[in-house]
Amino acid sequence: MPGKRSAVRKTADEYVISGFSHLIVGVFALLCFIPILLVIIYSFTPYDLYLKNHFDFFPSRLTLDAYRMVTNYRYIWTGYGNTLYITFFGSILSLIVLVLTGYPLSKKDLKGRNVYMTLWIITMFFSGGMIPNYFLIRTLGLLNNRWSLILPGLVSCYNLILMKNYIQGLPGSLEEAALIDGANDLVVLVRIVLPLSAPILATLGLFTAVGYWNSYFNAIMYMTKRANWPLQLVLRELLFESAVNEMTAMDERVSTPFLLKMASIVVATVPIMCIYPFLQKYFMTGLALGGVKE
Amino acid sequence: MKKTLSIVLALLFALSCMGAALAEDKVTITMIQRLPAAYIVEDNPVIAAWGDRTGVIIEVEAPPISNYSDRLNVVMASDDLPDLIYVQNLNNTYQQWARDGLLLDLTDYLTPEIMPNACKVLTQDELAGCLVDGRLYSLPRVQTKPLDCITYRGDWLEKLGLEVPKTAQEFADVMLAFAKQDPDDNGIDDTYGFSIRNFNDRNLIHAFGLRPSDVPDENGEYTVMEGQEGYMTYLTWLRDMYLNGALDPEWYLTQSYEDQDKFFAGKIGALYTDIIINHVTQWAANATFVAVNPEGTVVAGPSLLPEGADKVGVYYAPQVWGGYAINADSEHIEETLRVLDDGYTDECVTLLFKGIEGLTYTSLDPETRVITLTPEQTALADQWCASYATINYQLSNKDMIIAGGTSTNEVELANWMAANDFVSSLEYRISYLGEGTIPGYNDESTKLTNDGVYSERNEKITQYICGQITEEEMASYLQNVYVPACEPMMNVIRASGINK
Repeated sequence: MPGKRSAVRKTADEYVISGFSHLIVGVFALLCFIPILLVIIYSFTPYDLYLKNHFDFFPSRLTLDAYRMVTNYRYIWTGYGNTLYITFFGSILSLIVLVLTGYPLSKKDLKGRNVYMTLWIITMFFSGGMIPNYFLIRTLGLLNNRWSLILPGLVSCYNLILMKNYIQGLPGSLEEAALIDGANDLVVLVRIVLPLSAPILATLGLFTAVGYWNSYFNAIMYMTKRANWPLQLVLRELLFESAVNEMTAMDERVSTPFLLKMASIVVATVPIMCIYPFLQKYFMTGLALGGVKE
Repeated sequence: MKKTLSIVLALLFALSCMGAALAEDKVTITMIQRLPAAYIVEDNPVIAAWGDRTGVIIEVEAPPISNYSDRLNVVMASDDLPDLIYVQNLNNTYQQWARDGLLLDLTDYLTPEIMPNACKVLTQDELAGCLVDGRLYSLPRVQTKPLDCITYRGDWLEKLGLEVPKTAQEFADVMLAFAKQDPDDNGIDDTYGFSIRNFNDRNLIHAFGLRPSDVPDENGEYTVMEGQEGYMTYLTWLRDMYLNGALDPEWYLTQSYEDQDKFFAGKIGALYTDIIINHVTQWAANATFVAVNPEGTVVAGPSLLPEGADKVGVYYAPQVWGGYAINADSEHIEETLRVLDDGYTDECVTLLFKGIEGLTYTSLDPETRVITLTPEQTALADQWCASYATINYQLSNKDMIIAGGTSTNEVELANWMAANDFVSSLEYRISYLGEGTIPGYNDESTKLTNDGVYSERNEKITQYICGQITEEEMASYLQNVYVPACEPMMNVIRASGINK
């Protein structure tokens, strides 16, 4: 019992260290949280109040003007639809391909494994370039097709390395036991490897989803119709156009670009931020284990 | 009866078939254009009306405005060229496209017979920027520019008993008063005279006898502006205002629109960059400006005059915002020329900029430039019309674009006219050609950008205005480093003999 009591009771030094730790962590948490809070507050602040006081946590009036401007824009809704489609199918398909690629590459007895990995790694440093990629997509008949935004980014080598390393780190004895019990490779993959790979799948799923959610440049190249643009391109267009305009259009500003920017940040980030809490518990585990090379 | 009915039906059927056939006969002209975010391309009745005017179907591709050049580069590198191409920058890339045979040589097409409207409107100065090796590969999109002006808080001037400044010294005195005499009456020292967004702004420099680098002096000599006599005096004038507190101390952080925000917020009392007469009348009625400054008024002042002068000459280059080129391999050159030429008629300018009467506006008076529209029409006009959508952003008589200042009532128009009369009584335009029209100039200028010459100049000027380097150091830098670095670029200008 005395031992237990001493384990529970903190010494004064421990209290000081603990308090100091809380203080540092708390300050940094606030430093991270306050800008996000300000973004949200700004997005609801009337322009005239913002002009009077740039750092007002409690504006006397609130407005939806900036949101109204964002949501009145017709292409916002088609943009949301396109981005959801790209993010959903892109992430699912990307995980499937990552597993189907990472699992065989994790096997040391796979013939030509090093050659395959070298080829993959080359793609980390070199790309075909904008014009060749455009010709490829055009030849495939994918211009103005949402799959032109999904397929080019389907498998990233970085994610593949994480996946391969994670699977390599799983206990080999489990697979051996399953094989002895008569399971084939597919069964081992589905019944043994996949359930154990939830952390890395969640991590890479989040990576990929965020990547697809934020992507816009390919759409500039491959989407000639505005109705096919993803959300980020639509918002980027909205912000840029508001900030840089022709001479006489300076007076046509409806809302200040800054407040519009804040509203756009909220509109663009809230949906993807909602996913994070559900995957958070897997996130660090997956990243840490996948990053270890045996 | 049945027989008659059968004949009528047969006739109707035949007519509908003919109509369909006629519709099918219409050629489709494809076009790539730089259009604002709010513009809706799909099912746009204005584009359809333009097609009806020219007897074609017009299909517009509108890439993102911020990445227009990226998309255009891909389009030009591929075989997917549309018939009509808006070229945002008439720079080296454009010239290369022309030399590579991607763009149609329009020199022989720009005749009164083939393109009567373009011939009527465009001047040689405006066409100059579109020439490549003496041949014409695009037609310019020109904007008639209202006079620039400096805007001041009229209520601040009134409260302090000051006049609108006309000279550099008067400007400095007024700016100091705005900063030190509490013009907003709030008892707090929180106001400044002005902020700087553009060093070499024409609203300020002419007071010091400065001229654009590609304009020769009376002896026919070209000198880069920073090397001209009077430039150090100009910088010292700015520096003095910084040191005595008249200039906003955050000026070097000011980015696009932030000076306007400060003006609206009542933090500064004058604006001079990218300000035209239109702003004076519109800001005074702006809901945000009124909310922040219930008693606030805005007045216009001229570009600053040299001491002792009655008027100041201000240099204006043709306001060419890119140009329209035609795909050299277009299968519909004749129709595309027709569409392009139609863009230079007043009717087409009005159609693309303001839309269709009854749909996007109620009435529009071409003489007074007053437009009336309902809120619903305003919303539709935002979707279907834009200044960006115009082929040419000016009228054939070179008057200011119809309702370009979105004048919506007679009072606003009267205020505009009064401000314009006041400013134009103190300044006059001097037309000149910008350096960008000189072959080879862009190459040399780009080298200076890439070598960091311009950014170093800006850094030095900032240091000087903020009192971190002495007048001798600044003058020495300009004469011994910056001016020599600009010599290759100036030699291109000298060889061209432009503006002589």
